Amino acid sequence: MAAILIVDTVGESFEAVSAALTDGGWDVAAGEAATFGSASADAIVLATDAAGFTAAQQQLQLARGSGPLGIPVLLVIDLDRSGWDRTFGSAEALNVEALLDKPVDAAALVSRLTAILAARDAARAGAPDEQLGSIIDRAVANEEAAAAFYRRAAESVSDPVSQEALESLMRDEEEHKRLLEEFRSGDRTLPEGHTDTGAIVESFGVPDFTETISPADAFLLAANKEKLAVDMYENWAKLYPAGPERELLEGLAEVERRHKAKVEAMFTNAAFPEAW
Amino acid sequence: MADITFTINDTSVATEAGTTILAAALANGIDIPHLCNDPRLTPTGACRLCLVEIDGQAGLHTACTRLAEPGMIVQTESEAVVRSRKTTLELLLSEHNICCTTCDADGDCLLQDYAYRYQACEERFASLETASEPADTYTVGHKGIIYDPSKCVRCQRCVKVCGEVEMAEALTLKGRALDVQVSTAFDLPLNDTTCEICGLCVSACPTGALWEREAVGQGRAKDLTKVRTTCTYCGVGCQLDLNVNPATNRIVRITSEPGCLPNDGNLCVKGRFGFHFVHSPERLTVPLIRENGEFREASWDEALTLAGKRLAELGEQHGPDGLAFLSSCRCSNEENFLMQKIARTAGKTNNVDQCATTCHAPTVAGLASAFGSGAMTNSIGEVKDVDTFFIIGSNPTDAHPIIGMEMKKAIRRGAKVVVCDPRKTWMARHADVHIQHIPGTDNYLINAMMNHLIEQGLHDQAFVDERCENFDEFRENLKGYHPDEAARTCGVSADDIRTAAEMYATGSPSSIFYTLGITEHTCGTENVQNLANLAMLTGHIGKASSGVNPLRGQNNVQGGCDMGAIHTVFPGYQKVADPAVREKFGSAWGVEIPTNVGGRVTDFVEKAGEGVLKGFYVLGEDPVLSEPNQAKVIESLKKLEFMVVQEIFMSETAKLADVVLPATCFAEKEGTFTNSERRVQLIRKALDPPGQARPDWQIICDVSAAMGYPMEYASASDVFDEMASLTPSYGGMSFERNCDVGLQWPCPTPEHPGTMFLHQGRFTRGKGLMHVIKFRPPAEVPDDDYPFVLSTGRTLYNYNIGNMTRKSGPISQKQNANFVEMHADDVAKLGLTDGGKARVSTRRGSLVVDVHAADKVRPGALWMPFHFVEAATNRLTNDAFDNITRTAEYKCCAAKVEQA
Repeated sequence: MAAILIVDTVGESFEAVSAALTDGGWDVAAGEAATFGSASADAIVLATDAAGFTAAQQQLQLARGSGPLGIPVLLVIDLDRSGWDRTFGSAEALNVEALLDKPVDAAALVSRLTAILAARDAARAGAPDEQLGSIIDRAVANEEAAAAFYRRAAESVSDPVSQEALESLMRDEEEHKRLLEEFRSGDRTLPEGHTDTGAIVESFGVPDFTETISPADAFLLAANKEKLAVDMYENWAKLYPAGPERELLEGLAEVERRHKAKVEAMFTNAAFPEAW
Repeated sequence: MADITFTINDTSVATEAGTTILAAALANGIDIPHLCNDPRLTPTGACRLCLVEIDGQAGLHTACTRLAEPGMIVQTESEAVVRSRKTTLELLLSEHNICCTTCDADGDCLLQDYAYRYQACEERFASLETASEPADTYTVGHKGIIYDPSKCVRCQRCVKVCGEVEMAEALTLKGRALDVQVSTAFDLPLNDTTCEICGLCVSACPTGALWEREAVGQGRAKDLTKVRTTCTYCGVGCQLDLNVNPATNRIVRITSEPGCLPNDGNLCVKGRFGFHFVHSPERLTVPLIRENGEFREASWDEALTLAGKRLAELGEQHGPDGLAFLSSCRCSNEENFLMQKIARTAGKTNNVDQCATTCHAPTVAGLASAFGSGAMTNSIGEVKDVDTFFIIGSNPTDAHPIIGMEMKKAIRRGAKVVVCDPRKTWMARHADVHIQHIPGTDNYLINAMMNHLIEQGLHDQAFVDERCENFDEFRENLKGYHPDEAARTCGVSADDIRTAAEMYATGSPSSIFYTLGITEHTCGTENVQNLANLAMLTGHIGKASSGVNPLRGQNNVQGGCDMGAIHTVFPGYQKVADPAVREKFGSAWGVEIPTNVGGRVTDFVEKAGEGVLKGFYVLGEDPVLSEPNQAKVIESLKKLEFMVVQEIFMSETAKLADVVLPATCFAEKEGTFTNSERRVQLIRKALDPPGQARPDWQIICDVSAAMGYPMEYASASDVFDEMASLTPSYGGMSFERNCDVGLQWPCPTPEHPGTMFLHQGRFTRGKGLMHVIKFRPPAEVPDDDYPFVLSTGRTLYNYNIGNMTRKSGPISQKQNANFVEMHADDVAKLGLTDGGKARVSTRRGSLVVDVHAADKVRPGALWMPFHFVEAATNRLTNDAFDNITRTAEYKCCAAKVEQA
């Protein structure tokens, strides 16, 4: 029987979610955000009090910073569909498996969770090649989602320099996607090693989205997305024993680490000019 | 990446293909004796000490010339090797003057070390004659270097380092067999040759044959303490070791280790021989107060109290524009940080500046408007890998000699060089194309080059489309600048313009280097913008070894700017105009930050003359000598109600002060300098200061306290930590992190490795802005009354106002008087003589100086250095300014020359 960890930052949704999942036949446990990643659950439902896209992303970052992430995440959040959240409030943008509005619709939650776990089981049951393929498919989809995110972001800002920065990030993600597709078709190998990054986003934090976001903040935002991707692949890799799956995931983590180093370099170049 | 594995003494060694056995051994901690090898030089194979045995190969082989091969098995200490090595040493000793007990190199001599290691007998070949004494060599009478052939092992390191690294080719070997000696062509005295007194020959000598003359008898290796620090002269930031004798509290000699960044053990004449000022009896040692027109000695308490009280009073009486603070690029980052802090806290004014206004302000204005940031885009370590240099308005072998050496490395490798300079500099003489244009016509020339590139389709349209903006307007403007017309305006060949343009555009990587020949014009900012145009048009920017590189002139001019000693910005270029930034600093310092606009040093002089500026605190600067139109500067400063000067010497400005505070030089204090490539490096205390002199940072704190705003720090490191906490681009740095090779900003976190080059993939401002630049002639052009155009600049041997370099014996022996360079035709036409005297006059003043006649400058042009207080060239220069940065046009004014 699958085990589901529920993390509810204020507790207001816990009972409803818990009841729905128990009725659905899952074992349910309650956890806190700080212990989120270390749980050995089959899926996690994160019901956050954070309002809006940026806050939700920060919640996810806090949670994912502490442990493995091969585990699907369903995010329950209160989004304002009239503003920025309309642009960015998607599962792809938030890098989660499902996004559900508050108050949670129990039937929808059970339905999504069932589908997600079924897809995971199917991938695990497949031949080794199919498992590897699904990992790469996921990686390609992530790059595609990131490109779409930057495209939307570029369309939304007013400052032409910021717009140009976001468009350049979009082009980068499209390039990353192309490289992964080349890898999938056997035309390229993944990098080895462990690129050191300057811990920029870890020190400077994640900026808020606004229409007047500066180019430097846009790069910082991008660095955070890359960091989340690094964390995801690294933690996912920990779930596998030594073998081709782990090697692939470690390779993907290194790809994202290099992306992070690149956008952090663009951040430092943009953020600290010499101009009197 | 290691791609060869072989064996040395049963140890497996991995190295790159193309590495010699010796280099691989040394890199792996296996010491093979060697006298003639130096990692900076091509292999010589002369001394035969590095002979090794190779399995399966007959005889012994020189490890310094033999390349490592896969699977090779090498023995470095076999019986045969040791026997041979010992015999070689005994032969060397047989002709060596065995005087270790009195030799300065005792303890710092490879021959001594190896003789001891192999227990070589001094008398085995006692019949061989000892070489002659130093009485009749090429260094007789030279104040810097002494050569003793009786200690020479004929390894040729000195000859080769002079030829291959410095490329001066002043030294050679003469004689045969036992008579072989190092000398110069025709045994000329060293100062009459191409020698530049860099002292590399001394540093390369493995014994005591070549030594610093003034270090003789001042202490042997065991008597000396080496203190690693950063050179105090130009913006290269060489790492050097002060060899200090603690018993005498004196610097005995200056050395540097091969392998260190950024200079790889190389130093120039100023770095190696320019330290005598530290021990000069002219140093200020006690505070002075002016009383009845004369200085009298005072206690620190009295001087500080008077300084603080009067500055505070004048600030109160006349508001923020009544006070100004002139910081110094000669001082440390910590001192510059404190100087802008005292201005904005105790002084309640943004009137703070330093000498960047005098030199590179147009660089920042120009590059920031084009790229978004004004810093040098690449690093010194990238210079050697440049394929094509475009050097304009810069004389790197004189003004930045170690960067010049890096360029020489590239030239030896086959790099192409385009030089645009009104003078025939060393680099111009070695260039593939030298465009000797009329001073002040740079923009016409650059426009014509770009016109030609577009016309020929040699520009990088893809780069322009992707990364730049305003191309159409920019291109339209260029149509008026055809190379044929430029040839007439600039006084050069149109074909040379085309060739230079093509060479730069097709190089890979190509890089632009410039200095004050570009910035010190009334169109200085436009000149810089146009160089940025050229780089963008060709796509030569944002890559390793490819960019736009202003070479900063002073040891800490980059740091002085970084620290916010500028009226418009706080440290890290955080804008004073931004209320949030003011709030940040005001909160950290517990004050309300002033909002007055503030001004630059040129404004301070002007406002003093108008009677608006009343109080002036000057740190380590001498505007009387450094600002243009000296008479006007003196007249203005005399109108101040009160001036404090903090100095190491009684400068011309200090002579006008009310209080003079004795400060310390770089060898007597802790701190950091930021070099031209944005690398923040430590300076370390090696000596106790003279008399009552104190570190500048402590004095500034005390003046501030006396003004009513106490600042307390336990050390310079504490000051740095406060600065880093408020300055994100320095946020990841500390004395501890920077103590090795230094870090290049931006370095915003403790984990960040620093930033080697800027603008990779994207300009700081997003798209690079291509400016429309129209040619404007200088403010003053030659006419019938003043038919020459005069430029000023720095020589190799002296530095700025000369108060430091001219106290060096070797330097003053080489160059100790002002001169004017004229074309030989002009000299003849005016009836002057080479080496004679002439009167040079402009509309502002007149000087009598020596005449140097040659073809170094073009007919109609004059060039003079500005290092000589007794004949100060800035009596002549024009106080016309760049309209954006207020940088003076030192490079062009109209002049006449007459018989003296």
